[in-house]
Amino acid sequence: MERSNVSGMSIDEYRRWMKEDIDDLFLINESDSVDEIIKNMNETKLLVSAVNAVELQSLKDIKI
Amino acid sequence: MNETSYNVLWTEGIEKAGVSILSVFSDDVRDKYNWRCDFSAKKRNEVFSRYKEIHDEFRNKYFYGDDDYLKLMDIHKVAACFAEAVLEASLMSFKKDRKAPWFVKCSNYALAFYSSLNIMTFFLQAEYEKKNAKHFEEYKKLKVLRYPSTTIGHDTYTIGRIKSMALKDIQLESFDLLAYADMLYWIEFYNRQIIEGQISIKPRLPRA
Repeated sequence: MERSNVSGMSIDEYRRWMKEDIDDLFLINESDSVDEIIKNMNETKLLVSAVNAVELQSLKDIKI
Repeated sequence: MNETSYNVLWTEGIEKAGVSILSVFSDDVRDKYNWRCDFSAKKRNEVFSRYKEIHDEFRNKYFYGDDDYLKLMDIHKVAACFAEAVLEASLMSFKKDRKAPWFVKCSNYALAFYSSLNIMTFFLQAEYEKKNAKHFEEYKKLKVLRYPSTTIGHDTYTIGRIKSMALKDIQLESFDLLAYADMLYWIEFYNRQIIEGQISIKPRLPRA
C-alpha cells in the first residue's frame, strides 16, 4: 500500500517541499572536540568493558 | 578527529571489543570455524576512512548547512558512525558453515555493537575522570557495562540488539544512525544512573 498524500501532496512532492526548509529541522547538538577530550585524559585505557559475560551467558549453552 | 585520537579509539574501542567477542567461545570453536578478527593496519585504516565518510555524510544530512560544517557532533552520534564503519569493514571472518553458531555468523554485527559501546564508554570515562572523582571511582567499580533486564521469553538486551542489527541488514534496510545513537544515549543514561546512585540493580537471577 502506498503512503497517503500529505495535504494534497504526494509523498515525493512533500519530501521535496520539506527539504527546502530543512534547516528548521537540523539537530541542535554541540559537543566538545574528540581530539581535545582524548588529549586531556590521564587514563587512556578503557576501564569498563561493554562486553558483559553475564549478558552473553546464554550463548555458552548453544550446542556446537 | 585526528589519527592519534582514532588510534586510541581503535585500540580501546574496536580491538578490545574484538578480543572480548572472540573469547565468548573456546579455542576449539574458534579453530573449528576458523573464527578470526582482522586487526591489521589495512583494516584499521579502512575503518577510519569509512568512518570519516559516514560522519561527514551524516552531518550534512541532519545537522547544519555548509556554513556550519565545523560544528561538532556528540559522542553518541560519533559512536554510531563507528558502528556503521566497523560493520562495513567486516573485520570478523569465519568458515562458511551452516552449523556455525549464529553468534559466530553474526559476529560482525556484534563487533559493530560492542565497538560503538566501548567508544561511548571511553568518553563517559573521560567525563567522569575530568569532572567528578567520586563518580569516577564508582564508574571503575562497574568493570562491565550494565544493560536493562528483559522479561522471560525474550532475548537478553544485547542479544536482542545484535539480532536486530543482523535482521535489518539482511533484509537490506539501511543503517539508521539517528536511532542507533539514541539507543546508545539510553544505555549510557542507564549506566549513569547506576554509577551516580540514582538506581540500584539486583543481581541477575538465572533464566528459567
